[in-house]
Amino acid sequence: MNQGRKRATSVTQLLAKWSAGDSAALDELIPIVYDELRRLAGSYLRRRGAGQTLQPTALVHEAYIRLADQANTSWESRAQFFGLAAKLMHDILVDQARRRMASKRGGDQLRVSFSDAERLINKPAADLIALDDALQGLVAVNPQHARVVELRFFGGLGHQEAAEVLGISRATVERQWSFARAWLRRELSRAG
Amino acid sequence: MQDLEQIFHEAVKLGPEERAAFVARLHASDPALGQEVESLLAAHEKEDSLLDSPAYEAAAELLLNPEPELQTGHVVARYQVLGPIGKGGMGEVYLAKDLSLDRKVALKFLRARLTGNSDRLRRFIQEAKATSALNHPNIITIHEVGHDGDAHFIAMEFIDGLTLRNRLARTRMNLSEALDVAIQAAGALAAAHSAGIIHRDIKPENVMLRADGYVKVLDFGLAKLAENAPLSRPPAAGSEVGTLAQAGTEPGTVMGTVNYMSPEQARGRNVDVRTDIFSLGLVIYEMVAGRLPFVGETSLDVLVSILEKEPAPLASYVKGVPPELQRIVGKSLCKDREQRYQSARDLVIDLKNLKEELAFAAKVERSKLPGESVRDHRPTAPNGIAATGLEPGAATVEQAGRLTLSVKKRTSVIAVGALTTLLGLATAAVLFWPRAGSTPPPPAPLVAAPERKVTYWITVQKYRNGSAYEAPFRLRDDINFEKDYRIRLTVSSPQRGRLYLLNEGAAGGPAATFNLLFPSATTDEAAAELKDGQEIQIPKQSWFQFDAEQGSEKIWMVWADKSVPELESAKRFANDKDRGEIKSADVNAQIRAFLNTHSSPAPAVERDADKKETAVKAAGDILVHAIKLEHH
Repeated sequence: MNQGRKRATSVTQLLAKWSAGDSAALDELIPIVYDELRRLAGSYLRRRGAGQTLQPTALVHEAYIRLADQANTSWESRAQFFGLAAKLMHDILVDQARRRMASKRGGDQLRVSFSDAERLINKPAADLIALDDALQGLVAVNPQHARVVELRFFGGLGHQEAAEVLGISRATVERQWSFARAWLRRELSRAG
Repeated sequence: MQDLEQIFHEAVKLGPEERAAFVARLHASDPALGQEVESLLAAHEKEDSLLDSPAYEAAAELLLNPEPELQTGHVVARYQVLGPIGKGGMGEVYLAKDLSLDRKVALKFLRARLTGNSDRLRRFIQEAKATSALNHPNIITIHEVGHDGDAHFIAMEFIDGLTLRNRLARTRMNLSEALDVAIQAAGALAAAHSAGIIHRDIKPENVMLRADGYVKVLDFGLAKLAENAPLSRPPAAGSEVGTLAQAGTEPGTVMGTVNYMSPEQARGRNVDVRTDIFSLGLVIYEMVAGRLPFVGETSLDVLVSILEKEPAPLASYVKGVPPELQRIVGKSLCKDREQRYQSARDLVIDLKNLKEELAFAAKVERSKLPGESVRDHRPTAPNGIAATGLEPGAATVEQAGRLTLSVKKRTSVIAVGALTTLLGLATAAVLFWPRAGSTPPPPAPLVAAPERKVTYWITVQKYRNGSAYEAPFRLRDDINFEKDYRIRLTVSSPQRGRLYLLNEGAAGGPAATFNLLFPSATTDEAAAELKDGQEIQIPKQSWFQFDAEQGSEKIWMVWADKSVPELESAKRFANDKDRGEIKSADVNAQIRAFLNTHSSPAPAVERDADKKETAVKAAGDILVHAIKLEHH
């Protein structure tokens, strides 16, 4: 127990340092958070593979519980952590999706036609890229809506948690989410 | 946008009939707006699971199997990418050709998508420039800092050699080699520190060993500038959080970074020159002991260990460690940085002194008459060993610029009561110091230098119209393969170990794909580990056939004393469906990197023309040999 508390202290302190303005603390935080996210993603895959239903807890929330000393972390730090983790997930997943698709085309980036099988295997990657493209469009129009999407879709946060992170009301988050979702769906259906 | 959103929400609240009426009214007054709202409502009503579950649920696999960033042939500014350098193709450093100067360089990238924040980018460039101003034989040369569109890169000297990480993965380093590396690395640190640059990421992956003995420290200046680096503003909760930086903390790279962190880094405190000294202390520890003092299952476990655990003495992992080395490493690893070496220069001095003393003690030991052993030494007179001309209390001695010893040290060496110190040194020297003019492996009392030996021969069976004709025969090396020749490889070794055979696709080069020939789908786990003296025939029951392509084939033979992770991961393709064909770009890249790394120094190959077999020998734990076959 004591060990766990001390362990969490370094992340908490890094978080505090970061919010005090030391961006180098962010550099230290990221591998730790990423490490944890990867592990959790692995366990999601295993549980899904074993046919177990996925837990409703958001990945970033779980990472936070494991990493931070909650007794001593302010809610601002927690909000920062969620924000960071969601953004991390977003950047990593989209980056990996792009690389996955790019590697199929080869260095000269020519369009190659995919076989049905390849299309199927790469569907998650392709879908994610399409979504991210649409999301970038939303960012240009209304950044806060895009942020809600990032927190909820990439971070897996619920409405209430996202509201806390953004410092707005839950009702606002629900409205923004509902609008953003319609907007994105429309964009994607237009892109075909 | 606000209006649109508001109207959207109003419409959503209405029942279907009212909604239709609402939209119709909208069309009448503002057709463009009406169109917008209608299309949004349609999207809203659609039965669509998009965005319902979090991204990582469908895409978790992406997270776990990262792809390399750049592909071979890709041209960035004036460089053409030849392939990834380093294990697994996951490093963000690439071998490239400088097209204007026609030379090889190493390219390191700052990932574009994650750069966003221009503040971080500016620092990246600023620090790379500062590093390029450093001029020291043990610091890597930076050629250029540039960008191609969004991709920012550093073009550096390409170093043909091993990383210390690779070296550590081979055999245990002896003391002489370890000290050599330590002294050069510490010298590099001293130079950088006096220019105000702290490395912040010292680890074996960042230390390269060139064949000519030069050590090069990499990735300088991808770290913080001392003290006066401007701090960016804290991100307010809810706003865009800070972006991610390069320098080994990038997601997708091996998370070994935390293993070499200092306590102050683990605490998120400011770093200074003593931080680098701590990290170097860990590297020295690892070279000598073969493992790190602070380990753990996750990054956090490691950090806790760094903060709380005292490092185990080197002697618990390896015999004959001189106490002075333990002192130096212990001092470098003090948790309280006030207790550590305060400068890299002091560390260099102590390391050099230790090296001199050990060399001296080894000479003393070697100059003894045969039959005399270290244990026979008896104290003669209080100043018995003072035949060197030194006395207790003598001032600092300088002999031809070689030995520079403080008073304290010299006293402890020659004082009678501390004879054991000299004995200790001598023992260590005998055990770890190379004999003059000989190669590194330690002498008899310890295990003999590891080497791998294997013999193989190729048997050919001619086929005609689908059936075998003529008896099979052993291959002479002047034979040209015909289309109908089929072959079998027989491998034998006096040692036990793990054998891997890979067929390299005709394309070769950085884009090579591989086919795992052995172990195959039919090889069970027991058969994969070969016993000493065993002869194994591959394939077991049938023959290898060549495909229609003409040209040369390469069969890579890897003979290792234990299983090789990079090749073990290829085993999942050894099934009936894939038939050994390695379809993962990642795994192919890993294999390529592994073969490149372990191909030099090349093994000794001896062909026996009478027996028509080939014997291959290599130093170390892993033998890699390419069997080349031509067919026309």
